[in-house]
Amino acid sequence: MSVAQVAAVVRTRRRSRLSHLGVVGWIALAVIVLFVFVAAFGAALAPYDPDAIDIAYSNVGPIPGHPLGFDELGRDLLSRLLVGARSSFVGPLALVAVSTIIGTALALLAAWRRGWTDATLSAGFDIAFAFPGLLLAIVLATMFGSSLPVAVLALALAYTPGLARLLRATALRETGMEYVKAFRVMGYSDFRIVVRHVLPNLMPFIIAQAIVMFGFATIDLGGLSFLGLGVQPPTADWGVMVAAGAPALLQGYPMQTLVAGTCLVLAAVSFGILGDRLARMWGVE
Amino acid sequence: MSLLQVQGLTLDVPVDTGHGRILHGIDLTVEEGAAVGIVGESGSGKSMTVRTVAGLLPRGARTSGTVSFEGEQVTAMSPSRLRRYRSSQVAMIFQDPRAAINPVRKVGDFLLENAITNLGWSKARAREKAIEVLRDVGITDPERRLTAYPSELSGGLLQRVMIASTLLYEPELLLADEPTTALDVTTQSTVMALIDRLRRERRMAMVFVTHDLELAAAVCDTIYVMYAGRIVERIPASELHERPRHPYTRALLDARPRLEGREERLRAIPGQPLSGLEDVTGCAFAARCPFAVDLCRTDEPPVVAIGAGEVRCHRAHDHLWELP
Repeated sequence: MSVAQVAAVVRTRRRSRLSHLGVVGWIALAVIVLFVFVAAFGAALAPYDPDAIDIAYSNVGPIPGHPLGFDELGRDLLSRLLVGARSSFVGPLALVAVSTIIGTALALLAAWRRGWTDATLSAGFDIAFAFPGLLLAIVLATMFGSSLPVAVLALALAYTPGLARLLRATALRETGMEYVKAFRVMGYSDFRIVVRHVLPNLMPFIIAQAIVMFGFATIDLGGLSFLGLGVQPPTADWGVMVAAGAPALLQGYPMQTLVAGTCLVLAAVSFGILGDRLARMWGVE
Repeated sequence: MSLLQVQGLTLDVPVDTGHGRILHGIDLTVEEGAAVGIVGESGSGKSMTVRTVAGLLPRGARTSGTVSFEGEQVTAMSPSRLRRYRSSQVAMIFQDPRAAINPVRKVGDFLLENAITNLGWSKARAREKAIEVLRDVGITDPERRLTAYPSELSGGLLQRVMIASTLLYEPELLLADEPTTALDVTTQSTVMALIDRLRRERRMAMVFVTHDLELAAAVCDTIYVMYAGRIVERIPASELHERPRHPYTRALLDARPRLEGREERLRAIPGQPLSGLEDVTGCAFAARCPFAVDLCRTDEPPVVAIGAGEVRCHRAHDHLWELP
């Protein structure tokens, strides 16, 4: 069955859709909703100033009023965690948006034009896909300095070809459908057929892919921030926090690394599960 | 001037080893308001011929010869001219309506988008006209059908929707590529009768591609018989049953199941059907032809005019159709 036919079936069964998520899917969705909420309003929720330093409380554990305790500079850990959600969310969001839009455009172009356009783009995807994102990030950071936008750009270059390759295969099948020929005989322009008909029919696939990608993006960008290539201290960010807490681990104060790392993993896993469930629900694995 | 004139059309498509020829010099003429049938086995090039007329060539295909519509070369049209030609002068009805209509859009969207994009109508007018054409094709309760998804309609109803979409702009030429093959038997006859009636009422010309000789003879004025990418016979529909001149046409007629009497087996044509791609010296049908002589295997048969038809056969004058 083509993506479109599956989508058609799904549409006619709209009412029973969400029940296909399953318990785990619902939990993942709940975690994501919470994550997005904190990312949006974390600064307002934070009980203390996340950047207020008090060396006297360096690496002090949970005490009344400070449920997660303090980091190595005596900053309130809960406040930093809440505020850090934003940069841990905005980075992947930008990354997924850029990769998905460019990847989709390139995949559709390749699938629609075929011939040498497709051959050239596909070869480009394969070459770019073979290039590790981390290496690219280090190169770009050396050239342009370390910052979140540079890290996003580097990972976007690494993510786009992977998505484009996947999507091209699906788009090839879709553009080969008889209805596309029928539209051409009706005198529709190429642009209209691709944008108004082929693209919407591929949407379930693209959305599911983007959500799974978001999970990977959270971990990868967190990783780059951990390595000092992404978000820069003193900005609160989960990846940065994992790194900042690392020396204290050896001294027996694992709290900062633990909570920030848990948040990162929880977010990544939730996005992965939700994307997977949605794909299965829409029949576009 | 004829509405559609195809002369010496050849079509080469990319195959593993370069290009292969699948149409070998097709000559076909459609007068205004006339109906022409193309019959032949699977792979004989029927569909490719009409798709070429619609300007739907496979990727990397090469053509020679002419396909002229009202004197204008279709294969030489600019992209914008081709779009205009397709959106207003020619329409195609596909074999499987379920595949030929975007399954995630409602029936109404399908009809309205066509009218709004191609004809520049307002949404209200397009809707009104869509309801009108749905009624014309015998769909009851058209207002409600507009909001239905293709998956909610039967194949027969969906093919009617497809036909309705062509009525929106009343093209001069209707290309029907086995429009009833994907439908069940009882629906076939009603859909075909509908196409035939609407076409006559609106004086649209039609090229009708089918396996079904009876059907072709019933709704067309002229029948073209294709074999291995070649037109082997052109015959007025009224003479098809009585005087098929080409041995292949005759074999096709003999291979039909009969309603009267009981036969153990259908009379199949011996041998394998030839695809247009294969190299042939002499007549393409010679290997399977009970009347073949040595000449048939060495020389390509000439086109012989007989009565109101034409036949590509060395033995055209031997009155083969009178033999038992």
